[in-house]
Amino acid sequence: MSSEQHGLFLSLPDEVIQSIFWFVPAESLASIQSVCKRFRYLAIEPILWRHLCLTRFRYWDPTHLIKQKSACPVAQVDWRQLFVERALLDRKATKLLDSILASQKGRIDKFQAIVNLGYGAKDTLLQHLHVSESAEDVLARRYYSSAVLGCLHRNIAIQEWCKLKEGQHVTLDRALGAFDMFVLEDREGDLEDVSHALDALAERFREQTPDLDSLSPRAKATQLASFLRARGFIEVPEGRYDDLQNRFIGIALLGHDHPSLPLISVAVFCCVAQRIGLDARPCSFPFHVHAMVLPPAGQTLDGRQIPSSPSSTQQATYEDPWRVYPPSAGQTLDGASLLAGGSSAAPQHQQIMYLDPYRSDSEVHIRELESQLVAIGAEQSTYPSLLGDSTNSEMVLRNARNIMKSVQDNQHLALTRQHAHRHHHLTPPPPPEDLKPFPDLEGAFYSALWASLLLGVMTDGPQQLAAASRRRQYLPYFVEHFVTHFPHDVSLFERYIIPLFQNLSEYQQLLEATRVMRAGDLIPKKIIARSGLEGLKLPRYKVGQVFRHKRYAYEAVITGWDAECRAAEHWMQEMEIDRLSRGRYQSFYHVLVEDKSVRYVAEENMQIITPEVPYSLLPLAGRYFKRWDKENRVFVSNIKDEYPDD
Amino acid sequence: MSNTIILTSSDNVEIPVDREVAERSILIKNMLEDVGDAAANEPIPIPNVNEAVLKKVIEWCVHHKGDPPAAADDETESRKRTTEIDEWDQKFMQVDQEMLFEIILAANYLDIKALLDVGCKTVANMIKGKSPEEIRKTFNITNDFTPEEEEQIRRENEWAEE
Repeated sequence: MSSEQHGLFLSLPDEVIQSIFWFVPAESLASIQSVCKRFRYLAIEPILWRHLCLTRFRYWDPTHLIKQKSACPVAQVDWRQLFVERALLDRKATKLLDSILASQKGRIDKFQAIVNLGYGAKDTLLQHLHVSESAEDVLARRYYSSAVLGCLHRNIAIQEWCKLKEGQHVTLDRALGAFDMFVLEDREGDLEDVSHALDALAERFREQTPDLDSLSPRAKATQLASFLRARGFIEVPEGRYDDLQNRFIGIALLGHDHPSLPLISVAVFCCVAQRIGLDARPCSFPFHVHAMVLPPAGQTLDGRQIPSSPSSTQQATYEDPWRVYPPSAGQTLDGASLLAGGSSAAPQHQQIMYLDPYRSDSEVHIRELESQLVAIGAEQSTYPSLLGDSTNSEMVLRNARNIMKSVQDNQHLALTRQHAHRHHHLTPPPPPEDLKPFPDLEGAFYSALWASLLLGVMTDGPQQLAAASRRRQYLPYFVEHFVTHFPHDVSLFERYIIPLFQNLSEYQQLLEATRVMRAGDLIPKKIIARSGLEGLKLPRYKVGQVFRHKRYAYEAVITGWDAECRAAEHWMQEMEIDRLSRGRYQSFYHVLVEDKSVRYVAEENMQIITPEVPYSLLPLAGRYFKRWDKENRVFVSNIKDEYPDD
Repeated sequence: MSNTIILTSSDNVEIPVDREVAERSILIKNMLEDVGDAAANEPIPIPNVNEAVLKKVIEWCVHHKGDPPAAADDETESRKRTTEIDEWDQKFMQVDQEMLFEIILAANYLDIKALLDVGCKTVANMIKGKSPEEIRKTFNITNDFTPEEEEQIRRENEWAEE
């Protein structure tokens, strides 16, 4: 190096040196600060760290107030400190995840510890979730980062519903967006995305409707309905009505063809309408949800002023849900007077406009709705509530019921398809991406169970008993689903579900059940070695091998074994184990089946198979395995702490 | 309007160049607009850039003649900050350090944003993954910290250590 070059870098003007720093990763920026005084001075420039914060991290915990900070003048925020905080969080989360992968012990607390790091941990988890195919533990890493991420998402969703339960204000998009959080995985569409998508729709509508502010509420509502329909928020195609995806507001907003059912389209309509200043609410009409629009105080829906009267009760707000279909006592439902509308003396209900944005952009006359109620023989005394506005809790519960039904239909359909495929061998197996139902059935069902348990019947006074018995109905399903599919949610279960059963007989049982789960999680796995086993006692197959069940034809992977049947006596009797040709004294295997179930199978019923890649098992296998070994056609064990010889 | 203009380097060499090519430099473009067509036939002095560097810069401008004009970026943040450099530019930047910094200075002076970015990225890539001592060595920079200051900076940056 010639002496001429000495300090050439330092001959660059400040702004050019900073441009260079702009292109280096944060870690290099740390080194740069130690090079010399001028570099240090230039490298602590807040705008650089702001840039790093906002480009490197996409997800922020609400406690970071990132929105407010981004809007502040750069110098008012310690961006470098914020970056360091996030970098440390990232490191903590990675450490915890690595430790989850390294041992089956203590996972419950480690899951919780990552969740406690806040929403910022999502960036780290996504990074691991997208680890390269060639990673040594690719399946396990993807499985557990996805599992923790799910837990993190659910924690957020549950908090929204708890707020609703406690009577706090939760916007409709967040109340329904909470369902999306249960099935989100690594897609876009969290509560923030949902809210942004709605903001964007409102913004677009404003742009397209330059005279918006001069329109009457009625005209605004119908124009908004046609705007939404033009943007694809329309009826789902024939035959797709029961698709699970139609029941999630986030999927409706961010999906290509905006799949949605009436409840969701009404929610989208109301949320956008509220953003442009309309008082729009969902209406709990029985057949399908409608939207209702109320005039602002002192005005009619057509924009005429009403002379102010002190008794005016047009103050209904979301925080204070007030039934807005109250024909005053003794008044009969008379079509002519209902349709009159407009005069200041008219009863409240004349001031309501109904829409069915799912089907059309025109107004639905209340008479139509009433005649439908007449047709189903609804008591007239129920009209006010059936034609009144629906609370956000009611909407959540209604959606939960829809989801449960949809999941059950889906499961039924899947079973039929599987059956057809297995027994007729009509077609080659479907491509791997088709094997995974969208959105995830277990997550969807779980969301419906959570919503129903948390919000099913408000617990006030005399209703408390009814609430308790409702909850009892759901509890067995809930516990089974949670233990099978989301066993790491113990902390969420303890915190939000168990208290619902305080003072009830189940309470102690539930406490005991979680105590056992925790204890089981904390003790090291008992080592099951092959040494000492001989001859017939030695299991023929190993953990990680894939097989087809000789009688039921399903494919599964071995996750554990016993040298002989170790199930309870009554199970063996029920399953008629002694009628097997080799009876109960043959090796039995714990297996993970492609439909996510976990079973216990006798060796004689297993036909080992060696597919090139067992696609249907890949997403599940990470729970026990590091990766698929293509050469030997087995899964590589990640449970060596339990089965050291397999 | 003439299609060729003449630039005069700091060492007084006249270099003819396509006007379209020269106008990749916002400085020259503005100058030409200011003086008007009549004066555009006069050689334009570029007092901060010598012949070798100016020729190099022109070579880059010729290659990138057809590029879409750089978006007006008042907000540095909105600029896509990728550190990738296209293949031709990588080769182009395979010069000694002196020339590299001269090109960067010239691009800065002549206001050729895209070239400046390529230069900055090239230097950034030379910094990436290096320890402070390695950076000093690479660029011949003297450490002017006291041991106490060094220790304090090290502590502040512990988060970045593996």
